Amino acid sequence: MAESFSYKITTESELLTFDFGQVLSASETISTAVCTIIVLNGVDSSPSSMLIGSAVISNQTASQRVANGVDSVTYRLVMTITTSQGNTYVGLGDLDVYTSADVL
Amino acid sequence: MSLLLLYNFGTNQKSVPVTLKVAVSGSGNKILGAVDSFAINVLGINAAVFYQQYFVSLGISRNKTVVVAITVASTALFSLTKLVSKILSFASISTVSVSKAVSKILSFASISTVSVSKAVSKFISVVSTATNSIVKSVMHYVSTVVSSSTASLVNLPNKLLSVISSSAVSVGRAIGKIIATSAEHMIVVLTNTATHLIGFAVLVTSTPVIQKSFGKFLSILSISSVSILKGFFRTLSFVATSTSNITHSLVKLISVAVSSTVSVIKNFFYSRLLSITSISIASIVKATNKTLLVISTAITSSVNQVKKILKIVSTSTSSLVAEFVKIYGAVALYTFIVPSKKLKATIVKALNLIMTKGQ
Repeated sequence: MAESFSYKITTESELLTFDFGQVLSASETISTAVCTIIVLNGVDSSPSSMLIGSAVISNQTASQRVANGVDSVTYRLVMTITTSQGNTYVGLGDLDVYTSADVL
Repeated sequence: MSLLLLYNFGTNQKSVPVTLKVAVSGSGNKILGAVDSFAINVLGINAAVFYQQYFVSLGISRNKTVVVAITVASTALFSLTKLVSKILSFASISTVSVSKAVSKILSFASISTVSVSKAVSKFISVVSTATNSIVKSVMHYVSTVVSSSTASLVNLPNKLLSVISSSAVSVGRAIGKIIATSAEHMIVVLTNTATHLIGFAVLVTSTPVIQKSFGKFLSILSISSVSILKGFFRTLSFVATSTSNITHSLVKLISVAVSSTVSVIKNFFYSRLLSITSISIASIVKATNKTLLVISTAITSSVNQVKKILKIVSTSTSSLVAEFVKIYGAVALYTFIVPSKKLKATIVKALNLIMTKGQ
């Protein structure tokens, strides 16, 4: 089941982190990390433009910077990692995007 | 000195010059050399047109007649162009056309088409049983149009406009402090009424459509559809028995009571109160209000509402999606669905997700 990040204002640029510490063994590290993004609700013809740069690996976490987005659209970040022990895991994180005028 | 205008009227001829005479008490009849400062009374049984040379003829009009007062009673076509007069009055059973008339008072009574273009009057009154068309008229005071057929008013900067029509009424780009439009039967279309309206009332039995209106007060009573697009009001009040649509309105107070569908879309209101009473579907999308009250006996749908207080009473399905409310109260008698999305804005951001497996 996907977890949700806090909503993002369209003008914000945030580094969203997937922590795989509870999935990986103590000695297991992340070898590769690739992040993709899809639209769950709403309309955005080019959601991938939200991804700024590539995913960044740090110990047992993988992070992806996101920016922009379309108001009232719910996105899903899909973080796929491979590990030093040959495992492949996928982390899902939903992200709502709003304009600053939508939030009191 | 009392003046009486006499004239000869050529029948079944075109462009027949008629010598206008004026009777001066005690001095007999005199040929009228100039009419700039006299009153003219014309009783025409055929088409009559004023010439600058002071003719009365059957056909083509001439321009720049300068008089103080003109009264016309005609049974046929009447056309006046570029008249400068203080008082212009018509009583016609046929078409009346006035273009570029500058009058303090312009009054019509016609059982046929009335057309007024670029008339500058302080007061205009039109009573017609057929089509009325008033274009780019500038009037300081009261404008009254009574029509049993189509009434079309364009670019009217008035202080007060009152329209009573039993057929279609169209008002475009009217600028008035007070405009009251009352149409008893048919369609009312108000387009680009970039107005500084203080009061604006519509009473119709059919579809009113209002676009780009700027008013302080708008009241609509309709037994059919009501549609308002891009209206900027302080107070907006609806009573309709059919579909109502409100789009892109900025109002302080909006009240809608309909017996059918209500749809409020993308109203970036600075509304203090939005109240909707409907016995059918009520749909509100992206309205930004301080207070929203919806009472519906059918489906109620609210999407992306940003407001301080939201209250919904529904006897049927209620759906709230992506709501941000500080104080939230809802009563639904049957079904009530609140998605697990954010009902309240969070202060602390959660940018890290801890991935788990099978937990």
